[in-house]
Amino acid sequence: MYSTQQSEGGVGTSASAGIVSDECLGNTWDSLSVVQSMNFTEANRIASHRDIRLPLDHQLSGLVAGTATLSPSDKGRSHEDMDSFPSSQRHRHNKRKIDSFQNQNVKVEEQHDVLLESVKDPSGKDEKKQKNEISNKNSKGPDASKDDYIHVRAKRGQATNSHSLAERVRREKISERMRLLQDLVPGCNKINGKAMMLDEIINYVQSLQCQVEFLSMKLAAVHPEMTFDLERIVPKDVLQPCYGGSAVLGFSPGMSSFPPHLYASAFQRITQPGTPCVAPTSRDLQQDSLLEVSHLDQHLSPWQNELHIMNPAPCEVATDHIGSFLMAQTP
Amino acid sequence: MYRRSFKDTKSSLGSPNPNFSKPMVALRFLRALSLVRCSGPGARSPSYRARGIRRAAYACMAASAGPRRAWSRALLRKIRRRPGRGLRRPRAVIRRRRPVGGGDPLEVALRRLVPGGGCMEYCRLLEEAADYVKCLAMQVRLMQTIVDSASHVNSID
Repeated sequence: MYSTQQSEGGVGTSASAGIVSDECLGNTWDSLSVVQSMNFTEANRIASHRDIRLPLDHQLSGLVAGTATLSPSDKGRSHEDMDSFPSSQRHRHNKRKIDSFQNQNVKVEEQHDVLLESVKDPSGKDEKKQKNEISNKNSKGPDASKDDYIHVRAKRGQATNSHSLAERVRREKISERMRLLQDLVPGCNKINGKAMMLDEIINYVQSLQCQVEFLSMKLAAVHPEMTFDLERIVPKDVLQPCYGGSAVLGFSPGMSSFPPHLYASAFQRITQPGTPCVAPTSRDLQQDSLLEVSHLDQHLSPWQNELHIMNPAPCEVATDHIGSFLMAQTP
Repeated sequence: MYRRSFKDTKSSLGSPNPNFSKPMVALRFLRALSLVRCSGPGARSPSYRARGIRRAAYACMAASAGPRRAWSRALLRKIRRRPGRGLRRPRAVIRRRRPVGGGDPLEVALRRLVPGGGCMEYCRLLEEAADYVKCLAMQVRLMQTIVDSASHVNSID
């Protein structure tokens, strides 16, 4: 059994270690916090990998677990479950969570969280733990830490059953993903229902796939007239990180008039990001691009290789378009 | 054919950060396109070429999305599996972690659309769908630009 004073002291020591933020401290007394247990060795491994310091003593975990519980019966349960939870299951489960976590690309620097021991339900089933592996939640403030377990905080007036908490976190996760999708799919700002949203997403994906097929057929029709000269180019450093737009074009000697034209068209594309179609080019631009392409033989960079691709005469405009398209899209 | 390009692109993805920038995708796609053309310019029907181009498009999209995404891995696997490999080596890949009891028809449809969507949990499915949509949209824009520039070139002559 842990008393609140002990827990305060425990949290205080962790605060001195620079882990617990003040707002989290404040929060523990406002609302319940229900978190999952941590295997500290695993967490330390992750922490050392990601430059977070974690408390090393189990005492802290136990003490902080005491803060998480309301009733003494819960406290008792948590104490028992911490001890009784088999370490092998923990290891296995932690490994899975580490993998899933690493795949999620959560940022480290903005996260400070209290590391609390979990309150397990008395059954302590394995599938319950698997259900609880979800993103971090906090009632206020920053995102959660990098550990493999999720820290969940129940708001005031909400059910504190770990079942319902896990479900709520899962629902929030799903709704967050749906919001992401809503941003991606055009014209979905007004739709609020989940089912209709899914319908829109499915339609959009189907339409995109149809577009890919259609465009590939169109390309196949247009293709034989284009001559690709990739053997000559042989991109030696093709997969280097892309250079900035300024490095690509306009730096060849003797072409002083060309860069402004190209940059102008590139800026046009940047300002109109939604238009994939062709911007009208002038005749002098075409001629400039021809000369530009011929001058770029000496400077071999991947983007200049891109321009070389459509080297022969009928395709110089294509190089211009593709070049400006590429330039416009570099971040 | 252009299978060579897949291996090149796949092996060169050494960095964990996927090369998800438009120029990289464009580069890969154009390279794949040229390789598709090299296989037999006059002897193939346009539909065969269209299918090859479509495969190249999906392959370069998946290759540039990176091996960290489940859909890109599944897509590449599907593409590479096609050329009649009768011998299936029993790789130690656990395909189905959790078989899905699809109750929601919308969810089932989404799983069918997103490559590799049969084995994922719902949250993961949504995440992968978002990434897939983003990549698809970029690929469509890229192809549209190429087609437009090519048709523009042809209309000028």
